[in-house]
Amino acid sequence: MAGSESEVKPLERWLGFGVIVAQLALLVAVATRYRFESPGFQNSLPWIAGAFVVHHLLPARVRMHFFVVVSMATIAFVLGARPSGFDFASAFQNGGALLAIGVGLIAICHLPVAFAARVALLGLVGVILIATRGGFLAEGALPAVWPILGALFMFRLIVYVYDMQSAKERPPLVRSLAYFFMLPNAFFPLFPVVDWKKFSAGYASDAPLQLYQHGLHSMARGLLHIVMYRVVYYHFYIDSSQIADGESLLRFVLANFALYLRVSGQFHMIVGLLQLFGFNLPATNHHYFLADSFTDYWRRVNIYWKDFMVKIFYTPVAFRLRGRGVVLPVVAGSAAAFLATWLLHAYQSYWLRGAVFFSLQDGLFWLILGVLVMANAAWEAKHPRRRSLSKKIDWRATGMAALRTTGVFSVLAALWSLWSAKSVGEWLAMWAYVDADFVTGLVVTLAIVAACKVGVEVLEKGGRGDFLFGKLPRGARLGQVLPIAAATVVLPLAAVFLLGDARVLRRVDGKTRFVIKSLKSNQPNTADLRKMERGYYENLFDAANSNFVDSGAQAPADWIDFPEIEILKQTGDMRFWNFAPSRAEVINGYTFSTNALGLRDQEYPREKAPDRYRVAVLGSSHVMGWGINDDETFESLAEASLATARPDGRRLEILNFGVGGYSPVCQLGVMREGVLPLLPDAIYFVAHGVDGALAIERLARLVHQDIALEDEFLRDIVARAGIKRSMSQLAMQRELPPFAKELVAESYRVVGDLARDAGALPVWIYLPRITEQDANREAIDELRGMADRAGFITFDMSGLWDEMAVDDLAIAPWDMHPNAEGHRMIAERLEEIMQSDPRLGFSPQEQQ
Amino acid sequence: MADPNAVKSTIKNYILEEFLPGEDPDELTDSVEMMTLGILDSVSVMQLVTFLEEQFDVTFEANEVGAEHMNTLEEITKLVCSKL
Repeated sequence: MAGSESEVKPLERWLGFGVIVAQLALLVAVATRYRFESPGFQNSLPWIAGAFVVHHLLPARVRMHFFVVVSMATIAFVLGARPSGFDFASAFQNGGALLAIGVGLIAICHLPVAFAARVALLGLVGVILIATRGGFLAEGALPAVWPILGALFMFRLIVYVYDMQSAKERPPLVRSLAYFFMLPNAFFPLFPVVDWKKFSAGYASDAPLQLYQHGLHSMARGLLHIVMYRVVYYHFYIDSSQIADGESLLRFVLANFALYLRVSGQFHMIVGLLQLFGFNLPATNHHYFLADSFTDYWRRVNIYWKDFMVKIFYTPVAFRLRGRGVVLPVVAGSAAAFLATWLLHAYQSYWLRGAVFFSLQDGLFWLILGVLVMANAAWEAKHPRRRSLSKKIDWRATGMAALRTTGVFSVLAALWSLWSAKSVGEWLAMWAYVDADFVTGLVVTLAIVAACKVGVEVLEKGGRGDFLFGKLPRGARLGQVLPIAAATVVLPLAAVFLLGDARVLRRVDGKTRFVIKSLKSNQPNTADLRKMERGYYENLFDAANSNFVDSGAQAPADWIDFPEIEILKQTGDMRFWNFAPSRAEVINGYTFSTNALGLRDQEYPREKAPDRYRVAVLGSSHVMGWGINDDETFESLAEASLATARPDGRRLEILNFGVGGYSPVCQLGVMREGVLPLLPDAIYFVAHGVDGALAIERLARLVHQDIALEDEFLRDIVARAGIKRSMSQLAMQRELPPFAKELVAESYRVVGDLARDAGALPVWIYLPRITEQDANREAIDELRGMADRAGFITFDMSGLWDEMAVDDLAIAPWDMHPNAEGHRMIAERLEEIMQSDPRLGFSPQEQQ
Repeated sequence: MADPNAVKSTIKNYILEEFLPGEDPDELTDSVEMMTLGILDSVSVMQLVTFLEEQFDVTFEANEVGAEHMNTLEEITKLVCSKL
């Protein structure tokens, strides 16, 4: 478009810029329609696009200054953003602290003392900051600052100070500030380790419009990666506990490997954004699924990380050993790089999430990958791999490369599944599911991988790769750029944009509409929601082991998870836990109080007065009201609204027996220990779609904890499933899925029988979770059928959330429980149900 | 003062022989980005450094072994000549 700017006429230059702005507008429209990636990113994109135009119009000498100002303003914007509006005080306080600490760290790198003294001082300050981030020095200080400070400085400071060792002169302050306070870091904490020298040397190293086109191509590529990631995440990914045969095993292995698309997508977006502001940086990833050796994978998957490791760890170690044979320097350098990679991933986890993450799978993953790369590198040192500058296609070599690629792909996919498994034992056990379906599916997958490898090799050798991968020749003119822009940015983005259009959605069938709508979601998928509920409940009373699923939205460090609340106490029976009576806590800013009966509710006398109509509501966290105030639960709202609605004049009292994590199996204990002694007139059993899965987990937990099973059907299922206390809980859970329906149906039957025997009316209500907007009709009907057969009066609230966006209903982006507005909607629907069906005793017809 | 063309020729011959056997020498121009294209990687660059140190009796620093100094034949030649 303009390699040599002076040769390009102003009209062509302005037309070229117009083409760039039009593409950027399309990209912003797609990112907004598909909610990429975080709300902070979506909200900032229009502002960034505007800043890009201003940046281009400014004189070249002040552009980097402008970039720094925009970056800092964006970081302050993110720090001050609150669901209720912008908090200027928070933005000022946190932004000021971030800037002060950051400038201080940069200043230390340039102190007029020996290099070793600067490194020692940085190390000391680093230890102080790490201790403060962990709350060891100042508990709870600046919680919003630490993740962003870590994202900005944790790795780049290492690169920067290393390069200052050999720097001939001090770099301009504005360049250092631009390097550390990079605009995309405000909303992408997981960030490629940009090299200082490449950052400096690449600035404005190409004609602006050519650089912008590269940036747009990178961003479009990133968006497409994230679309592919969402397809995998929402439609292929399964949790390891869902592996039941060869087909599901293959899904688990391949989908986990493919989830890296999100990282590469974000990295392409980041580099693209930086290119828009003049930083000519290379690609961060390059066809990493098509690596034909383990060293090749290491070179492709995260190029910036590999460069970081080579620069700081591999080269210094290998360099010291040079001359001592060919293999030793390579092996020693690689070992240093992989050891550092493992430790630095834990260090990164500490800065971004506030906790060091080490696990046996994690250590094994890096150990095995490191050994594979070292062995491969040692082999290559002795037997140099084939390299060529020729554009001729060598079909034999290409075929061999494709064959090697299938082998590398298989091993790495298996290795990634180890990283994702809950334990090494689980990972080893899951291979028992290998069957003919697994082998067939794997062969087909590998054939596709091999075909892609051959295709890419042919395109690259044949010279078409540059076009398809958006590479512009130096000095390209507008006429050369337009077809590349059309093919690599406009057409794919326009297709994705139109796919999400309401008019298109109306014309496709329900299943296709469901798939397209899922691409617009940035919420956890079903498997992760299950994990969230497990993570949320699983290690109750063992919160140290509770890991929050990485669903994109991270809870702040001071966010309290349900297992951590102090009101909980263990019961030692089928309920596992309930609430201590007459207690009050403030949890995540909300009041959470219990009455003398140990219920999250107002006070009621134990003895029911004759003029009262008592309803006991049974359920889990949705009934309990996680994340809202005491008086905002749907139970309390409905009670207040219908208090005097009964035609028989009895005043309504609704007792909230909801406790987080309760499954239908737990409700058997709740009925006997809590509900029946209070003589309710009706039992309202609130059910969810996950009840079957939760019941399996709870039964396995009961056996694992050796808690007495009071019901004959539970003992019978345990015997038939062949589960024993000596087995791991996970192994038990694997045996129970065939009994899930029976478990729920029998639990319903017993609850219904217990209610009727006590003279209470059993009522069953299906309450969808807020992410369940496309209801699984068949499964819900099946559950309702079980409740019908158990003698419940049944109601279905499916469709309750259909007109609402999930973001408007969730208590937080990282927690999908309904907020106060959600509870208000549930209460309204419950009141409709109670008043419309005469069997419940709230409608005038009943009196007649 | 060493002849840069002679230095370049020696380096080029070594690279062709060790890492690009059978390649047309004309394909390896002064500006081919060998690290970017994967001709030189972290393994082969260490072999190249060892060769350069022995051949020209020079010493490299660890921070010189990177794409910013050793990506092209021209850059490598310039680096070696600066030490002679």
